[in-house]
Amino acid sequence: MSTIEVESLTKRFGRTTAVDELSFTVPPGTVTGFLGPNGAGKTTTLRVLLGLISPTEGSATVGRRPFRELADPARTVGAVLENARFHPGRTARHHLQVLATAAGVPRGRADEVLAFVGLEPYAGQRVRSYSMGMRQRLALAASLLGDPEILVLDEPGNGLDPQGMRWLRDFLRARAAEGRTVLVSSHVLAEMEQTVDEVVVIGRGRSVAQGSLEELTAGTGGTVRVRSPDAERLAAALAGTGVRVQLESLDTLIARGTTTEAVGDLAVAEAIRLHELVSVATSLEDVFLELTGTDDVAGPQAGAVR
Amino acid sequence: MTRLVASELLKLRTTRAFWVFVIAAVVLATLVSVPVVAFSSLLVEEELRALLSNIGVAGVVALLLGVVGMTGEHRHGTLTPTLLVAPRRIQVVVAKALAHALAGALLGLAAFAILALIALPWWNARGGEGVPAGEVLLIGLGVALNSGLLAALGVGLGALLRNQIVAIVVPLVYILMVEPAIGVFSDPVATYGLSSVTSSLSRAPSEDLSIPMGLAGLILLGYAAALIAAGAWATARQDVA
Repeated sequence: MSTIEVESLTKRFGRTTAVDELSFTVPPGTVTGFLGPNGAGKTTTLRVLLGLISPTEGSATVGRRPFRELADPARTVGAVLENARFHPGRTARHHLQVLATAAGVPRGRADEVLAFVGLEPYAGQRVRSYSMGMRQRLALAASLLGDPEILVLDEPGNGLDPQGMRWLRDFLRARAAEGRTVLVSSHVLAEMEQTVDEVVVIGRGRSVAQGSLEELTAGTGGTVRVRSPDAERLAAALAGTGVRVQLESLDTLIARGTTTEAVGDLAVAEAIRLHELVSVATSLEDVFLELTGTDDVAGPQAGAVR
Repeated sequence: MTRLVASELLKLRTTRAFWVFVIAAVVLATLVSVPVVAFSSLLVEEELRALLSNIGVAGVVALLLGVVGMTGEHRHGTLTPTLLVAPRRIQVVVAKALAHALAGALLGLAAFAILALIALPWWNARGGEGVPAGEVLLIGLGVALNSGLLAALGVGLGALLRNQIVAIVVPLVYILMVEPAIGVFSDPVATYGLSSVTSSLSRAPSEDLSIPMGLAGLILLGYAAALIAAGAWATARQDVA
């Protein structure tokens, strides 16, 4: 009943293809991370899933039904969208009461969810005066009005402080432990690593990888950090064997998809001196960079990619 | 549907906009009545009836209330949270139209009540000819219906046009300039156009253009229903950002 299924979903805006033949399933009892760089099509996918925009082709369903046809949407899916907006002149309590009324939830539920997200002291303030983090909490409170089986959160980390993020992580883990479904999108991978069980990675609207976090981090091989006075020559030799190499500084390089044994042996064969050879744990970020290609990722790179 | 109407009524009550519109209607009623009752030299029944019906212009305030109520959802991005709990958009637009019909009728009634409270005793005190109580009530009913239907029509128009400024300017330009201009050449527009229908509904005395109050109400209901249907259809089709 509470499985999310996205099947061959394509969404075009004019000539731009935002989502391209995307398929994935989100089972109950897990927190699934929906990851990709900014502009990869995450928000568009979630908006189609929530019935806000129509797919060009394919479908996105909740328990095999389109969101717009759900018998009781507010008790089935709760959603927090990126940059949630509110009427600036309405108080938080009234905002939630309006939604509770439309959803057929008792109005008193508004104060319960406000207390739950820690906004109770500000419930009577007009939303105009709210900070970004408070708005994010208010949006989360709204998503919980119907105590839904499924939570869909788009970039929930935006505007939350570290304590807020930690609180959210514990909350999502608890929901999944109760057997509920959680789909959470993010482009900030560090905050997802301790939260998600399953991962769907997309880039440019297409699926790049799906699976459990362990499968994904195992599948890419290890990451090795090497310090050598001949770093450039070693980088060239490694690149020749198909290893992805990134020069961190003049004498340090990061090799992905290889092992310390392989790098050490190659160095001996090429007569390259090594001053340090360390296996680095593969992080979600490494997997992500590997899968989506570094040119998709915003922000400065540490070094050139060979 | 009942839930959605209740939710829309709560939306109306919980921002300042609605109360600003109510105050505007009451101020309008005062401005309309005081000069006439204070300075009119024709203290005949016809003059008082015209004055009472004139508050039909509160309908324009109600129309704008409907327009702002619907386009505000787009302007403030609040349509999205509503659609997340109530994704059936046609129902959302229809519920909003019904809620605004009620709010518009109350607004019209408030304006009429203020007008009557100021005008009737004053007129009496000046020794003017009275209007039968039944007729006063009928005018009040007409004014309320007129405001209610125009508010619902405003919701439909707002849903269709989406942009708040455009949806405010278009009906004003139409009512003040376009329809009167066409009405000069076209008898049907002069008789069954928005201006004639709304003034007939609020029982404004008129020599030639007047149509029966019941028919006027039905025609205005038709206009409102058509615009609400068009607005709901447009809302159901569009992508919501």
